[in-house]
Amino acid sequence: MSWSGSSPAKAWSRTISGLQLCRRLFQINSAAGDSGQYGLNQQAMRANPPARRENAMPTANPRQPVPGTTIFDGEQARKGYALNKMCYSFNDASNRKAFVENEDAYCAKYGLNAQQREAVRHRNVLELIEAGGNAYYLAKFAGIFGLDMQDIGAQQTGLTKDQFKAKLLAARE
Amino acid sequence: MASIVGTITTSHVPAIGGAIAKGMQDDPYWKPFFDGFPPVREWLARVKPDIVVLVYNDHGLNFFLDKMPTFAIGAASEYRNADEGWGIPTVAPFRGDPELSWHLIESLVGEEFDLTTCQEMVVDHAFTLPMALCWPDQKWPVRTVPVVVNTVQAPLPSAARCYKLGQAIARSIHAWPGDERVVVMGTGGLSHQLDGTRAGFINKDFDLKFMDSMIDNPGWATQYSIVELVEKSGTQGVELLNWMVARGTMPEKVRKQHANYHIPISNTATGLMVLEPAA
Repeated sequence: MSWSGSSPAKAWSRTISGLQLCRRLFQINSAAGDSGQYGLNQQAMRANPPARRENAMPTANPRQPVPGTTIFDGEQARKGYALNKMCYSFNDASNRKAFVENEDAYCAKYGLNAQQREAVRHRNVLELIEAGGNAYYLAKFAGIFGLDMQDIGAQQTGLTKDQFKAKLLAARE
Repeated sequence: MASIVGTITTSHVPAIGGAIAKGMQDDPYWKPFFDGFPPVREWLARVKPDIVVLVYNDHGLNFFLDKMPTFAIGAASEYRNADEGWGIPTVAPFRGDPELSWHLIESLVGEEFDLTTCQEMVVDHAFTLPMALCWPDQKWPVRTVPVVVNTVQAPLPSAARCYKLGQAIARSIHAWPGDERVVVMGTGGLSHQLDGTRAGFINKDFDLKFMDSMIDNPGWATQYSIVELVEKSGTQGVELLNWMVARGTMPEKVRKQHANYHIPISNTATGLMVLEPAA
């Protein structure tokens, strides 16, 4: 099951704007603990087993020797070219607007493959990396939704935003 | 002959721009970071540089993956910033120094550093924020030469190569017939990782060793491969390569004028150092 492609999400997409939907989907973790407007999403997240994250975890790969880390090399650069090119276009405010107004058309224009299109649909950073996305470019995608790096970090690590911030602070010790 | 009066190396987190725009310098979260900079400004007021050579990595503003130079240098009379995807404020344009740029290009290519030359270049937060931290009124009193190092797409230049680039920049500046006073900045790092299940990785022990090495063992980081640097400092921690270029422009013996280290700003362990050539 995909938490973002699930039927509640699809139902919402008919009732709220694309941008609102994006914000809700992306902030699933950051809003954990808040039983307000994101409650349904949290349930979806909790119901979603961590299988997706495990799938995205690098296995023993001589090309990617650092655990939990995808070094953006030639192989990633080739795989992710269309996705990163779309994200690069988000430097321009009018392109960000065009994406929000018609996501399908915008992704089609950049020729995203099915894996990339799904990762974009899910607003799932680990999936986006798996599909060849580069952190510096994905940051521009996240920017569309007003997300900061702690939102992104929380989503990738399965922590709440507060837990992720606490993890950063713990590095002082 | 022109002289290099010192180096400033600092982190360049985008969120700093937001904090500056909102005037949050005294906010408890931000204060330990911004408090690092008044001593830098006092030092700048004393050494009065004419030119800043600013070594940084582009984050997908000027360069896309269609053409990714390992090293690039600006050769324009003016540099501007632009929206990087978050609608960041634009700042006053930076004056360039095309004559010095071309002098650097001639001598660096002459030394087999085959840089990409850019007569047009937009500069991103890695350039603008360190400048704004040094000159908060954003009335830039210096001419600038941007030098861009690829830290985005592997293979990246090694730490040793970056250090040697710095040494070659120093030779070139020392051979410049003008009497300008030059500060070299290197921006980025220190340890941080934005992507992957290891997101949020910070390595204080490594950062402090690296900062110590900048003072009295400048070749220390060259013992590590890029993969090892990623392992020790994070996928974006490798931006310390820009510090290595800056350090390479200094003689082996330096004097630490100032340093600051703070965890975290956004997801980043921030470092700041001002070094001067030892007399």
